[in-house]
Amino acid sequence: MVRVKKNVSLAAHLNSRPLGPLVLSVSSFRARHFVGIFLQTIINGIMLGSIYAMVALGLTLIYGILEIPNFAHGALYMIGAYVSFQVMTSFGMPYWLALILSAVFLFLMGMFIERIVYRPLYVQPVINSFIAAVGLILILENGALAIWGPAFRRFPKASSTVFHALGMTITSQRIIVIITAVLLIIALQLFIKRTRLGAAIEATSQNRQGAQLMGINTSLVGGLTFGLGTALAAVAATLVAPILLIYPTMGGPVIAMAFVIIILGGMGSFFGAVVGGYIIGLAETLFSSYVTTKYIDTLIFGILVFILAVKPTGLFGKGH
Amino acid sequence: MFKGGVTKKLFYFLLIAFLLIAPIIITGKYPQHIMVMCGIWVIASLALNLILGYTGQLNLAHGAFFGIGAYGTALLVQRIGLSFWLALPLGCAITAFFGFLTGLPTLRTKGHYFPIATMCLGIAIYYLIARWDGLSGGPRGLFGLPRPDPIRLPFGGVISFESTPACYYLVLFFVFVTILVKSRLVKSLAGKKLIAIRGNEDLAQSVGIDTMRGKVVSFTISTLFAGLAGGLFSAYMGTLMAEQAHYLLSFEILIYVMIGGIGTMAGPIIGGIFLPILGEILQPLAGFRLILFGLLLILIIRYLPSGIVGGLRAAGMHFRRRSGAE
Amino acid sequence: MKKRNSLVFIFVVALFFILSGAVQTVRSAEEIITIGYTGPLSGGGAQFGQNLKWGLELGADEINAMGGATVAGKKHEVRIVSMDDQFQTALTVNNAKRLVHQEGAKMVYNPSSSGIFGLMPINEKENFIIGAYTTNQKCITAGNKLIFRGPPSMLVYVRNWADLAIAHGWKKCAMMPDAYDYGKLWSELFQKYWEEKGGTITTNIPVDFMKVTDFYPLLTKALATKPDCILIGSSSEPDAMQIQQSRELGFKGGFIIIERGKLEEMERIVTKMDALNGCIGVAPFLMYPGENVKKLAEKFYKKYGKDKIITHETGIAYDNALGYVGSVVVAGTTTDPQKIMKALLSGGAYKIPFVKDNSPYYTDYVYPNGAIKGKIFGVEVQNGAYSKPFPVKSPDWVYTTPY
Repeated sequence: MVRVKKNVSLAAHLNSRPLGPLVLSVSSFRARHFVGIFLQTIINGIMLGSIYAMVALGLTLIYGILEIPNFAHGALYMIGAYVSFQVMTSFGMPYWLALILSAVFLFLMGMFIERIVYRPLYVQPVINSFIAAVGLILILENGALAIWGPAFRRFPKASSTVFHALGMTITSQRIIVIITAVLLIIALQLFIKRTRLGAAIEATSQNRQGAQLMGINTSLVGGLTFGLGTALAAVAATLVAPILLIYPTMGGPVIAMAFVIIILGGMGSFFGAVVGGYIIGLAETLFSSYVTTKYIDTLIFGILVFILAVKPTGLFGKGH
Repeated sequence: MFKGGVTKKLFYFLLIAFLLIAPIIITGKYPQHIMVMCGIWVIASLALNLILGYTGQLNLAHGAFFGIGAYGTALLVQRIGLSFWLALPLGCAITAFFGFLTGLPTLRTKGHYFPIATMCLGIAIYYLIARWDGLSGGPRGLFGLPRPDPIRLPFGGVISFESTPACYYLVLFFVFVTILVKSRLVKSLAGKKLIAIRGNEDLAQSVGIDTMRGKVVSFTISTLFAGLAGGLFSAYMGTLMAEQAHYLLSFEILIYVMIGGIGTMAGPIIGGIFLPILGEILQPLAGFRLILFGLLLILIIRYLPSGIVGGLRAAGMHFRRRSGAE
Repeated sequence: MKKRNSLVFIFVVALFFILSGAVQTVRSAEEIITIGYTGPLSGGGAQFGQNLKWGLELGADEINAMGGATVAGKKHEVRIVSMDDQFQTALTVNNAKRLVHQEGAKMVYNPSSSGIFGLMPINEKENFIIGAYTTNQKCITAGNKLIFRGPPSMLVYVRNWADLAIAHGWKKCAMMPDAYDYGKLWSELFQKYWEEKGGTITTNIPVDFMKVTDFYPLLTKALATKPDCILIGSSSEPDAMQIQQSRELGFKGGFIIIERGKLEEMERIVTKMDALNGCIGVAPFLMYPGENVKKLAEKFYKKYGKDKIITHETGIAYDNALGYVGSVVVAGTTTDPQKIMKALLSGGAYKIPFVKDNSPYYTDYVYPNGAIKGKIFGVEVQNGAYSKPFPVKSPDWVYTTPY
């Protein structure tokens, strides 16, 4: 593919003047440099936001239907990455096929977990679902550790083309992440608003009993939603895996952020998850680039506590 | 837990006698160490059960308060040079103070927002401890924390806490204190109010129970005892890391309470003893141990949600029914 | 009613008997020499913890293959008992107690400076030797009488790598150590030395490689300060990703690699070896001179598989295991750590055939404070290939002076 070269003609032009170049080229270089870094930060923020949005979306979909925050979501995200990894390394499958396979596998796994682990617990207090999730995390993380070992793994065929433009550096994979995420989110929104099954999901999430009375098979819808949410996580993980490394506890930081997002955006809110995801992605990247404070995590989570106390339904959430 | 005069008294007498002479019967140094640790976990579990089992609120920041108590007591001893006997109550007071402060906003949330709010609270506290190098030693943690100062007896002689059995008795003492305070609290009118809150908060409110006040009291006392467990931990182990304030610890204690039997007096005790020991026995399995734990958790929560105590009660009732009249 | 009471009673009593029974089986240290190991076997440092475990196990195999070590006239089998502590001090202490009291270990090997500091207040009391896999100097200058240290002193790495970088004319260095204790310590020492030598540190950006979601923002920030070289300190794979991505971002300078990152592991992660040009770090273990290295590598691949990587961590642990058992032989006792320690300090172990003929580093000297004299080789990567390994300078004062 084509490498875009830096635009040097302005500097060259200035350099041909006496004295001028010394002052002008320094400041215009600095300005270009700064702008370049800023743009790069923004792009990275959007990329990170895409990942967060997908994970948060999966989480919020599940929450909306089943009224439990699935703590094990991060662990399932991690499994999604490993499944793609394994499928590519063992069978030499191309990236996109591996991604689809992983999504399907995690979809089924999600349905299975909903049926076997969570469904029997709906009649019990919510605490018990939390504990079941903890149990799941233990099984999944240590299972991954046992199967794939503790070392960080590099995703295969991870070489990507590098673009340089306007002083910033972008790899093709990062662009793929953004485009895929946006397309998927739009597709999902259309699915929910335009199809019968989507309508059933929405109805069940708004009023489970009402939906049941209308003849909707809420158990089936619940299971499908769980599968869908989990598959989303798998896609997100597979998209980001070539940029990072995969390891058994990679779900931890992501799930923490996903919780932040759905709390802010409102648990159960599609819009909140997406908007929240991008906001947080941008905020995190901007912060890493321009501000350094050790206490950022304390600040974020401390603020969240207050938000939960004052407006638990978040920016866009529905009341519960 | 069970009524009846003579049997109950005999049971308790034998149990306490056993606990008192345990270090003499069990002489292995490592089992003795386990007994001390179990004692600490029992105190932490009893504390969690107060807010969780009796007041129905799942506090996922419990581990963070354990950490505050641990670091609070340790710093008072190491930085300010206080004697352990002063530092421990102060450490508990500090923890309770933070419990009170953070309880006010978090307890305002309803339903399943509370666990999430406390989860965030726990994370916030964890990162504060982990990153505040100057205070907590940051990622390195604290070292060389001394055992409690020896107690001089009036008739000469000294009780030193250098040995493990001595620490065992110290912890055992505090276990009894915790049980006493908790059972008093639960039996009293205040306790009944708390249980009403657990049952149905809205209903309780409608009959005039000040649920917020009840919840804050329960929360604060719960954190106080979490701090007590933490303080004892720091003096016995001698080292601390931020992991002692992590939410994984909250999960651990939660597991002890749930599997032991939530909302009962004996549950946390059984959980706090049985599960750490089970963990030790399964050590040779290495990574598979945790997979087994996860499986155990899911099975118990599915089939035996009232824990071991609940299961025993059900079994007991079953036998009672089969044997006819009481 | 009575039945329920008695059920609970029986249960609780049974509980205590399980406690006493199951946990009380103590292994006697009669014809067995037990070495205990507590290290990270899961979580972030797991590969590192595994490398050391392999080294200890190979050492045990070596000795058992010749029928065991002869101590006071009797053949003794060497046994390694490993436990996972996830780099958490509370678990390290817990594990150590179990290893010593339940498994009969007289030496506990541990690779975390925090863990070692956690063990130091109790090891003399509970009578066991700490085998410290760390470059931290404080642990052997604190006066503990039952500790030995395998790797060389931290300043050895700091000074040698810095000297080489300065010799290349690099003056500006951006530091990106790991966000944990080790990185903090290493980078502090490095900064002091680098500035002494006339260089400047342009920025300090700790990297929490277990939690970072994207290296780009951190790298961008570091590269904005226009450094000649970057100090990196994560595990091998995150290091390699940082190097790879910094090349994408246009960085052409060098890297100084804190020894947690191993070039032979990093090789596997970067797409082309050229990405590693300008790296200064510990030489890949296989490049170390001598027959003993080759012998060990053969045994390693045979036991663990050709797809695994043998690193200097495995080499040092192997060396330490041999040295310890050799000291037991010289001391003539498996149960007296004081005598074993004395024998270790005398260096006598390294004259015994099974140690001398196998030690990958041809170790021959132990300082009075327990530090083992290191024989580390460094290497650079230039033009897509490793340079010839060079021995690092390690003067005596670096082992004996507190810092």
